[in-house]
Amino acid sequence: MTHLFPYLIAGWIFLVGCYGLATSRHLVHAVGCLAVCQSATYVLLLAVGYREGGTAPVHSDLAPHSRPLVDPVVQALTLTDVVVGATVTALLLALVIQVAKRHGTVDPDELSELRG
Amino acid sequence: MNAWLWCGTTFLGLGLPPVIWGVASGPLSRRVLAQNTGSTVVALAFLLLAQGYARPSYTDLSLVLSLLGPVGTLVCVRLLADDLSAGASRWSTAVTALCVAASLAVTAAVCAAAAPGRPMVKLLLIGALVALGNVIAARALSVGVLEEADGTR
Amino acid sequence: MVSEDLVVSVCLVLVAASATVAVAVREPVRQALVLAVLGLALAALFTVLQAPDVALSQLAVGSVLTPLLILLSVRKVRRRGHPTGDEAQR
Repeated sequence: MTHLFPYLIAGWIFLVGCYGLATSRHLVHAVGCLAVCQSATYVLLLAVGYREGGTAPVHSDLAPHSRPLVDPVVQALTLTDVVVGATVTALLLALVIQVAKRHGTVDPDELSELRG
Repeated sequence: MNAWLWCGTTFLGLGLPPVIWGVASGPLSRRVLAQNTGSTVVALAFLLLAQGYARPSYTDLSLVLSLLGPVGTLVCVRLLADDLSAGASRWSTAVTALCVAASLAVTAAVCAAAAPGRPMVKLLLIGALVALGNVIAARALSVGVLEEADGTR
Repeated sequence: MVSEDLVVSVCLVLVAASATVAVAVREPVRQALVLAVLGLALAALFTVLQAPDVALSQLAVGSVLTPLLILLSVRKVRRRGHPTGDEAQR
């Protein structure tokens, strides 16, 4: 069960973020919920790479081959993911400011341009 | 699992739930105070975990957080100066004193287990920065906001 | 090892709790503070999952950058003269 727990938590966080995104009444709050969804992917990636009894693949204070290591490739992917998440958040917030400028509202329910 | 990991786990398990509760409810000044406390709690937990996993390089995380945590709090104080003009939280002095006491205790414990020389000096520096950062940010939250609100507005 | 699983489980539960609170808090300014705490919880989780370099990036991004961006955006959006704060609290 302990091997399943990180994946369950990642799923929970993603679903909670999606719920917040769907029921949001403020676009900036929606961007925050998207950040929560992205953090679920970080948890998932690192859970995939974790090895029991392993330690960080950093050799500044560890002699090579002295202890088992966790998977370093997955950590590189997660690092990229974190930075991309910050960039996406910044870009979306810039878009929200533009929406506020053009339509005078940040309530998603009031943005009716796509309505038929 | 050794005693250090147990200490780190209980530190996180007892320290972070009140932080989460404090940041979720109450007036804005209490929420910012909770965020400040959270960064101190996690910085001290990193020191304990570094000892528990026998990886001295994890103390660098504590060093970075001791600098970035107060910066985050000061950013919030600066940008929320209007909303925070209602006054400081009544928890402010008690929580700050608790954080300083905790950082002194954790620093003393971790230094006692460290090798004398450079590692101990580094741990002392980190402990001092954690305590100092917490006090400065809490002070800015409770005092500096009112001065700014009366100042050049 | 049972013991190290316990640390990981505690951190996972804290991250899940912070994420749930981040979604439940509806007002963007208060949500920015909760996202800062979520960043801290994630950094702790990454450390116990033996990824300190990822934790360093997460600390820089999550505890300073994301709250700063959100607070600045809310400020800009408010200045349009639109009472966004009142609407979100209804």
